[in-house]
Amino acid sequence: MKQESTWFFQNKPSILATGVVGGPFEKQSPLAEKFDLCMDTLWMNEASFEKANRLLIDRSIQTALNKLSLHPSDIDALLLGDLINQITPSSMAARSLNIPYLGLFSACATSMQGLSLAAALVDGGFCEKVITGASSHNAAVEKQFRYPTEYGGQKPPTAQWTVTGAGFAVVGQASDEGASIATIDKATIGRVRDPGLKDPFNMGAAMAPAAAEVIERHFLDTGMKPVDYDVIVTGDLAWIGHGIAEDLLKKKGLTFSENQFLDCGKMIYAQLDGVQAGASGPACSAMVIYGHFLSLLQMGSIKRMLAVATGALLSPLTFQQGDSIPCIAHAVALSSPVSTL
Amino acid sequence: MKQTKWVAVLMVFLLSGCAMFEEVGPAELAIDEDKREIITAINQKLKETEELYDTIVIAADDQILVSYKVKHMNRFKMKGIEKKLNKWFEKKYPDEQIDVSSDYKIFLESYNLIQNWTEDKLTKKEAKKKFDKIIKLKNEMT
Amino acid sequence: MKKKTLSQQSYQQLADAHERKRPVLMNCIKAFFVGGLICVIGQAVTVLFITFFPFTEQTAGNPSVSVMVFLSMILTGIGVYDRLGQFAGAGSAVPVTGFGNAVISAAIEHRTEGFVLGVGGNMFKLAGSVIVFGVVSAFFIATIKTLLIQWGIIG
Repeated sequence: MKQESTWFFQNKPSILATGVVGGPFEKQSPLAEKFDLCMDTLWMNEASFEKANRLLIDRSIQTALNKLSLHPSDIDALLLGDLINQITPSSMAARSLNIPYLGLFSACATSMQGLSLAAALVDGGFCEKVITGASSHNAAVEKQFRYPTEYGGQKPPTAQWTVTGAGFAVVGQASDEGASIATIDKATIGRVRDPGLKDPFNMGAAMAPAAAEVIERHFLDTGMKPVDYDVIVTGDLAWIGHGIAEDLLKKKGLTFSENQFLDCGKMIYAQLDGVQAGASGPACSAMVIYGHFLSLLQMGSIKRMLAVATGALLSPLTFQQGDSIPCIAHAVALSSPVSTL
Repeated sequence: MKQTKWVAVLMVFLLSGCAMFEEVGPAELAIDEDKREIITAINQKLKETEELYDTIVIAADDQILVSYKVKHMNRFKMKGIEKKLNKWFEKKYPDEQIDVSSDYKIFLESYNLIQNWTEDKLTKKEAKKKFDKIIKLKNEMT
Repeated sequence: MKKKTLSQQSYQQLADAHERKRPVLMNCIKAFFVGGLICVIGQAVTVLFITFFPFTEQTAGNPSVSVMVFLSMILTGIGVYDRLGQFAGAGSAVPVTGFGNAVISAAIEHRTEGFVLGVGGNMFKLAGSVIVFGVVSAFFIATIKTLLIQWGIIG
């Protein structure tokens, strides 16, 4: 086994296009204008919330393909996942697309798991174009992991709000410089970390060590320092977990300047009413990174970023049986195509 | 606007609550005159019982209905009060059939009966029928 | 319960330092007033039943409970009760309306799985344990009371 666990991509796999779709609540997000589309209702004219989740995937993939005037048959692989029972919404969406499909599950870290795998497939020459992304639907996730939507239980201030939406990216070799939104440089795959927390209403705190571990290892492997990145963004640690992660990294000697260490879960809703500690869900990191940060990279207003999606790998069964919450985080280093000109 | 609505709602509740605690008695009614003496004595006894504050006693030929309201903090001892009264009645009037109730519904119906009676809206027969109905309602709850 | 390792313990301390505490006192105050208001409404319904229908204080209980559950059903259906629940916590969960909400919300949620497997099978998903443990504890309390009366300890 080699010493370094970070993947260095040699052939500049790039993100060619993105498709980001949000739900009705995401319309109020301060980042809403960066999303391609926001649905009007949670039902989205579908018969169930699970079907609505599938619709989010469909719409978002379609948006990404349309931007490149591609057809699903031009795509070599489809890597996606979500939170609902055995990732059925993703599989059902894949059924109609007829693209070779790999279902992924890293809970809310699925977005970066998919992106790193897609980059590896393209970099290794196995695929020319890969679609990858993640989605979640607030009501469907609440139904599976917590209580019915209309149940009047009180959520503690540590609880996080699951994002309704989907974020997808087309990864491939850029034919010319202008065609790329961002170049994928490196990826560090996380190790499962379990700090022993059991409260499913405080997932940020459970996920923080996994994020800290992968960020620390990324810097160790690459020999880079935090100043080499303009932005280091975590997935959905939200207000509580993000603060813990910052403390953990400080202990390891990694400090950040203001506005350098960010969190998608804090950004997507800012301080909207009712979201308690912030946002969560696979769509959270996917939407903010693909929608917001990639446009910054494309414009060149940030040169380099490290995207770290975090996931809590629990199931409704394990936390009811008293198991603690194992967590994971995957980091992907992205750079602006503008800087390479 | 929102606040005034809430205040209005609150007022309705407070007022509706008041109706229950409003003192209307003590009152008594003898549908058959020969029981007049007994019920006056009973009412006097109730008046001396300091846990109670509003009493109605109604008598028909073979039955006497005693209903009363219990002062708020004494409601915890309601069962004990009823027992105490029953014991007293048994000792003093062993031959009479006396029903005791602290239920507001029984009190309300008794009061209505007395009002209708004093306004001459009822014949003796009707009054007795109504009285039997109250007794029936009273026994229904056990 | 599995014992936590040393590093897990020290992490727990770090996490506690960052955790946002539940505003317990404020929650209690809100619960007191909202719960009280729900009970006042319940009492008003009871008084209504006593005044205008042939119910006594004893028998008016059942129809009042039905009305309160019905009201909470309506509020759950139009999506108000969960917001009330977030605001009031135990204040809206403890009265019988909270029980109604638990049943109805589960029924609405699983409507998509059909009537038999969805609504029927999941309706008591949350409220089921209330019924089970209510009946079980009632059984034990009644047994104890019966025994005590039999032995002449209480009257």
